[in-house]
Amino acid sequence: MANTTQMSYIQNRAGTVTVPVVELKTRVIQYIRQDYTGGSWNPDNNYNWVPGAFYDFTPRAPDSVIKYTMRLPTCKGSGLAAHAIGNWYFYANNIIYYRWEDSLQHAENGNIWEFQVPSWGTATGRIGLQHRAHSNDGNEFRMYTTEYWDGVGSVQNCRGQLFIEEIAL
Amino acid sequence: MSTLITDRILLDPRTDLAPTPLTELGYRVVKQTRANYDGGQWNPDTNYNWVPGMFNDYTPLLANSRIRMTLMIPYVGLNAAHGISHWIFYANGVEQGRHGVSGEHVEDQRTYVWDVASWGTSSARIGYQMRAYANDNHEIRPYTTRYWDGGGSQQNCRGQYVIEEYLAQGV
Repeated sequence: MANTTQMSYIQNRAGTVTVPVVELKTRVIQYIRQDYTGGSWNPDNNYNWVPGAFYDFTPRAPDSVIKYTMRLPTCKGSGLAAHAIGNWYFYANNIIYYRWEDSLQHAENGNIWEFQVPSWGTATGRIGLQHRAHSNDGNEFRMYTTEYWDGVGSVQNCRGQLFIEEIAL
Repeated sequence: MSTLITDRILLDPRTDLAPTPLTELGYRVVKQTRANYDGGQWNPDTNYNWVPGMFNDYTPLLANSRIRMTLMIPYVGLNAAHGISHWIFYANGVEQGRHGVSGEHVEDQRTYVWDVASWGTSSARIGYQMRAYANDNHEIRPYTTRYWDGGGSQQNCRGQYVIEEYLAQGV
């Protein structure tokens, strides 16, 4: 049987922490962490889900906010054109919320991308990144790899990491 | 208005294995603001101006909190191979820090995070100002692209910022 105690504040005996109960409403109610260790991913010029950067997520509440954080190393593919170009879509439950382009001469990076979107209900939906190269194996970014590691032309595998936090407000 | 004084609280007597120390409830978000920018590309000049969609006139809930602003902004270098720009982050009229964005054929979307002390409970602006290195030349332009879908196409991009005001009480 559920017990309910009504109060406005909770305080510890030392008086060092006083929490208005209403401020406990904003909290993480679901947390997902996914590490990607599958090595380099080679895109083509179709939009595809980036491995390690998507998740089939089921929100717990229909009125929450879903916070998506992805650390995704990218670089110009070894031996490819000096000018890497790629296009990105961020989807949540089949809706395109954001899109952007990556481009750079001799690019290598360890970006974090972070977005917040409203919950889509309590059914499972996919949240994450789709990507395409500007030209397949030409002006292209590769994911989870390097080109010039430790002072030489060395291709190293890099890990990626995805966090999803569902926040009740 | 009532106050419960205790050092531990059993939040769910059916499933909690151990009572939660009250000190662990002290770190908490007390106010959150979130906004999307959907206004299309913005063309800066050589003066510092507020970047549309990257600032908020914010009123802190508390004077002893911290305010963390996370900004997601796409941009492209235009009108010269080498795009260059200068960015300054302000809170309540005080510069909190500055950085450049530059690159050869640069395009990106970056996530920037700034964490500042509350300035009290009056409204003040928090966010980014930026300028181009040269107007319509050696320029970084937010919210657009240059080479979309394999061609030379400018597409509008959205931006987003989130402000979380939080207290780190007892931790």
